[in-house]
Amino acid sequence: MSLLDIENLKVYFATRAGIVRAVDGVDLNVGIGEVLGLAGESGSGKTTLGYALMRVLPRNAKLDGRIIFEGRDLLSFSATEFNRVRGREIAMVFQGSMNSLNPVVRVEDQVAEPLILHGGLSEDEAKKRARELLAEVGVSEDKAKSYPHELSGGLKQRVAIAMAISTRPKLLIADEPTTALDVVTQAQILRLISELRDRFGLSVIMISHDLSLLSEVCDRLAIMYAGKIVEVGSKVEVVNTPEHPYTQALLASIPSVERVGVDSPSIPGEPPDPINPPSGCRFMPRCAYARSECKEFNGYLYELSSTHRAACVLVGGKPIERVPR
Amino acid sequence: MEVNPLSEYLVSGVKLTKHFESRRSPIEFLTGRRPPPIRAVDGVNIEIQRGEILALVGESGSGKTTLGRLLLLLEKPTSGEVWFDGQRIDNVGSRTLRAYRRRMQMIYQDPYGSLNPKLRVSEIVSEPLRVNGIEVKKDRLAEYLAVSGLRPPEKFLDRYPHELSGGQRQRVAIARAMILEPEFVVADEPVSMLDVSLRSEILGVIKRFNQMLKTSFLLITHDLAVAAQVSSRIMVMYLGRVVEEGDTLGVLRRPKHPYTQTLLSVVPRLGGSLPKTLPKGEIPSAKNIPSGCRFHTRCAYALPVCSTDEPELRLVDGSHVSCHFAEQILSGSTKQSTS
Repeated sequence: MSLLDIENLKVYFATRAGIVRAVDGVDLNVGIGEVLGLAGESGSGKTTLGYALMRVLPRNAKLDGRIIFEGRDLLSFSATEFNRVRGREIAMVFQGSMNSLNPVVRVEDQVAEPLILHGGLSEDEAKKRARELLAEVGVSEDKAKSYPHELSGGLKQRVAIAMAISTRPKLLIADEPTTALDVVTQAQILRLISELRDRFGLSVIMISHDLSLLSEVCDRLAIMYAGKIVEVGSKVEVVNTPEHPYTQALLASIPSVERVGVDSPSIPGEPPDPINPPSGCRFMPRCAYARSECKEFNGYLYELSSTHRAACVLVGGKPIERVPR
Repeated sequence: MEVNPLSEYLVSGVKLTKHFESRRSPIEFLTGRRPPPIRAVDGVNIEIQRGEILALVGESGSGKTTLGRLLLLLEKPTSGEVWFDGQRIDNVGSRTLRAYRRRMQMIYQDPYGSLNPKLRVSEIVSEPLRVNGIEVKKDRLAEYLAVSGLRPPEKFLDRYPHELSGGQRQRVAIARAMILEPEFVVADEPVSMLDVSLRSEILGVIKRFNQMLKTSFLLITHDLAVAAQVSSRIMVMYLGRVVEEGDTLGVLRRPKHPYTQTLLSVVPRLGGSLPKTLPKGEIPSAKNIPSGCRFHTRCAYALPVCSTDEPELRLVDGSHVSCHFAEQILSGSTKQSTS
C-alpha cells in the first residue's frame, strides 16, 4: 500500500537568469515500510524533491502538482497545517545535519529539546526519552552526555537520526546520510536505517549519488536526471535489467573492486542547463542511442512490468496514461 | 647529506614515526601530568618505485594522510628517515629542501577549498611555473588542461573556479599539480568528494599523467574500489601501522589481514547486500592504542595472544601481513567469533 504518492510534482525557482526547473514533473510513490532509493548526479534535483516533501524551500520556489500522504493532499495544506506534518509525520536527515548540532549543548539535551517544546514532555521525561532514543540508534549512555565535538562522525550522524525519528515519523527522508563517513561507519549507518525500518515499519526515501550503496539497502530504486525520473523499478530490475540509457551509463561508470586495473566508462558531456533544458528527452545530447524521435519525446514512463518503468522512446513497453485531474 | 645511489626506489620512509602532542585536559594541567601523545604514524616502512601508483588505504584516523605529509616533509617526523631519489632529505636545511619541493606535489580532497576563488583557471595552473621562474607558455597550459579532460582548453582558461563543477575543479587542481612535471605526487582522497559517476574518469586523468610523465603517485583513499582501478600495489594502514601490503590483485582477491577483509566486505557492491558481520564499534583513539595487535579489539578472530603480542609484518602468500593467524584465516581453519 502506498504511504506517499507524488503526482506531476514541479519545483521551479525564479532567478535573475531565468526559471530553474529543478524538479519537472515527477511521479513517484513510496509504500509503507519500504525503502526507496533516489539516485542521480549532483544537480539532478533529488535534494530539491526532498525539500519539497518537507516544504522547506526558499521564497522564490514555486510548487505544483500533488503530494498525497496517507490520502491527504499536502500541497493543499496551509503553512500552519503543514507544521503538524513536518518533523512529526515526515522527517528528514539533511545532508550534513551531523555538523549542525549545537556545539555547546550535550547531545542528550539536544535530542530532548524538541520533545519538551513540541512533544509536551516535562524536562525529566524528555531526558529519559532522549536517552532511550539514543540507545535505539546505538549511542551509549556515557556518549549521550558528550558534546558534539567529543563524538566521531558516525556517532554524530546517529544523534541526527535519533532527533529525526524522535516523533516516530512514518516517512524518513535521508539525504546522503553517509557522505563524509568512512566505509565501515557507512555500512553501520546503513544497517541502522534498515533496522529502524524493520523495527518501526518506517518508510524511507534515501537520496544518494551512489547507486551501489543504494542497491544494498533499498527495495526499489528511482533514477533522476535533470529534474525528471527516467527509470524506476525494484532493485533487481534497475540493477540487472536497466532499460534507460542513462541508468545503463550510470551503472557502468561506478568503480568496482571486481574490476582491477580497468577504467569504468564515463558518461560523456555535462548535465543540461536547468534553465534551458533540451526539448524532448533531456538525456539525448549525451545518449549513445539518440535518434530523431527523441526530440519529440514527452518524458512518459513506459511500463515494463508492474513495478518497472522507464522514460525512453527505445523502450518497447506502452505509455502510461497520467491520471486525469 | 646521506646518499644511497643504489636505491631503486624514488621515495622511501624508514621507521617513520609521527607523534603529535595532545592538549592537556584541565586535570592534567593542574596535576602537571603530560597527556599521552597522539601516535598518528608509528614506525612505518614504505617504498615507492619510480612510475608506480601505490594506494594507501585505511579509515580516517589510521594515519594515512599524516604518512603522506611526512613523505613530502610537510610534517617533520618525530623519528625515522625520508629518502628521495637516493638522498636522505628529512635532515637537510630548508634551502636544500626547496630544490626538492618542485619535484613533489600534492592533490587535495576538496576541489572547493583548494582553488583560489579570485584567480582564473589560467592563473591557477600557471602559478607554480611563475613561482619557480619558468616562462609560462599558453600551449603548455592548454596541453595540461586537455590531458586533465578540460576540452577544448580555450573554453576554460578564463573561467573562475565558481563557474566550474566539482569534477572540473578537481581537473584544474590536478593540472596545477602536474604542470611542473613532478616525480612524486601525493593524492589525498582525490575523488571522495565527487559523484560516483565521475570518479573513474578523474582517476583516469591521474593514470594518464602517471603514464605520460612517469610520475609516482601515493594515492590515499578509504575506498578499495578506487585503489582497484589505478594502483599496482596496495598498502593498508590501521592506527599508525601497516597491516597488509601487496600487489593490488593479491590484496583484493586474497586479503589476508582481518582488517583488510573488513574493508573489502563493506565496499558497496551493485545489487549486493550489507555484510552480515560488521566490526565492533569504531577505530580507537591514536592517543590510547590497544596493546598487542592494534586491531584485536574489533577483530572477529581475536585470541588471547592478540592482546599481548604485537605481530610483525611477514610474508604470507605473496603479501606482507601483520597477523598472528594469517595462514589459518587464509586456509579457513580459524573460526570467526560471532559479534
